[in-house]
Amino acid sequence: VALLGAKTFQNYIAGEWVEAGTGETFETASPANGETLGVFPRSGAADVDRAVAAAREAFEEWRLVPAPRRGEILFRFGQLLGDEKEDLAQLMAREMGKVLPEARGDVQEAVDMAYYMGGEGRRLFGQTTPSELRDKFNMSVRMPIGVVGAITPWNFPIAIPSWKILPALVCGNTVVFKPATDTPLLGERFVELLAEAGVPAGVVNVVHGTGGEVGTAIVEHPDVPVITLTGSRDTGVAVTKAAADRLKHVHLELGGKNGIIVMDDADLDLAVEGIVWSAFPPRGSAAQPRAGSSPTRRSTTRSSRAS
Amino acid sequence: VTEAERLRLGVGWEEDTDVGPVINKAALDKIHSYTEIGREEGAKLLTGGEVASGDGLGKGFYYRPTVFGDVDPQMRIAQEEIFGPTTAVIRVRDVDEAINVSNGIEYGLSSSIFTRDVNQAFRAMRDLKAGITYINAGTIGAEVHLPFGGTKGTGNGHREAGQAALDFFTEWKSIYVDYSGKLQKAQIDTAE
Repeated sequence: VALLGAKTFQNYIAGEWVEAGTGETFETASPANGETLGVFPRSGAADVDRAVAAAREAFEEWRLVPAPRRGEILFRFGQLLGDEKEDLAQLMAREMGKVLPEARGDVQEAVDMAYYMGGEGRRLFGQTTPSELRDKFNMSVRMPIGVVGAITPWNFPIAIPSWKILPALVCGNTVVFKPATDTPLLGERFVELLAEAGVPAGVVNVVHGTGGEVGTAIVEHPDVPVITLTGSRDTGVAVTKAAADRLKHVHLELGGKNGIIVMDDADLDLAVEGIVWSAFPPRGSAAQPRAGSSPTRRSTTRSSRAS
Repeated sequence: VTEAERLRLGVGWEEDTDVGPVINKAALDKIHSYTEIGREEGAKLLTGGEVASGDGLGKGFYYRPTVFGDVDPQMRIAQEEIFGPTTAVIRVRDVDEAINVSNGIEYGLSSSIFTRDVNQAFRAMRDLKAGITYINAGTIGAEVHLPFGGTKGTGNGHREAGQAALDFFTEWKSIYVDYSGKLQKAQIDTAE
């Protein structure tokens, strides 16, 4: 994988690769063998400010780009992701540990989302509704909101950014994206490919750094009306509180403890296969299961895996 | 247990690896702390329960797939998200108890039932308090065109993916176009 080798990376703001104002950095290493992967900016509130300003400016044009055109850019992104699937999977195995079949699945999920949301560019259906008065026409339409703050975890480092960023874009919003500090390299590749697909400067911006610094600055920023977070329950509660004063829209996907019930009439081999696949993810995690139940056999497994 | 022991740990980019490393040292320590907690709570460790080393695994963060038996639903290993390869097996008497046990946690992401009894399957579909229920499949396998997310402590009611994602990333605007050329008053002019 060409990107490996302690290369130094930057933030991506208004279509330019830029240093963080803080001058600070953090280094990442592979959980599989300790190999150094890259050096990334440990950004601060001023960097978030720049990114939000860029996203806010870009919003005024992006919201006017016809939705089918926005969708076509997502189709191209899906195509590029598909072309890069093997390289991204190899990188994922190194950066966060997933085995290749699952890493390929992670990328495929983003490909699927790109095509699905690309198609939404020609739908985004609203409603027409009769009026109670003559010679009057009523309709309700979907409007973009503005700058979306997307804060993502390491466990699905390509799929989860796609769930957040691609629908945000097809709807006409712009994005400030903070990838997890454990998977900044994949976050960086994700945005490079978006730019290559034709997403204009400023429409998607990346600010690397910690949740406490960059995440907090995004959540508290007055010009970011929408926050989408996948993370821990504690972080979700903190984000909700911080966003409350400005009545921000907050989407949260937090913890899980997924029970699997096995009844005594179940196909046991199938159940075992399903439980092992769910409980012992070929990386060390999604939200894990507990197994349980059947009058005679009785088992529920509770394991931890997100899906 | 046999299947868990058969899984080969290793670097993710080798095709014969079944299970890769956990994400970092903090995760490894947290996962192992839950093994200690499970032991102290009186659960029976059936396999795993240790950091894996040897064959070069010591250079990364590897944990043996871990299964606890004799688990009580109230134990911390059955309640808290460990975010690692640890599973708790809980015995229950019937489908009602199974559903209660499955619901008896603060989260509500995924759930699953393995059964060939259509009545039990539909009971589970109705009564499992989670954003996602799988029938005869494990708790992973979401597709992008269905809503993804969970109830209770897993979220705040919004969903990703599917059409639901569009509701989160847009706001509705209602538009009234009067082409009558005169002032018409809703609710007032309509009164007989």
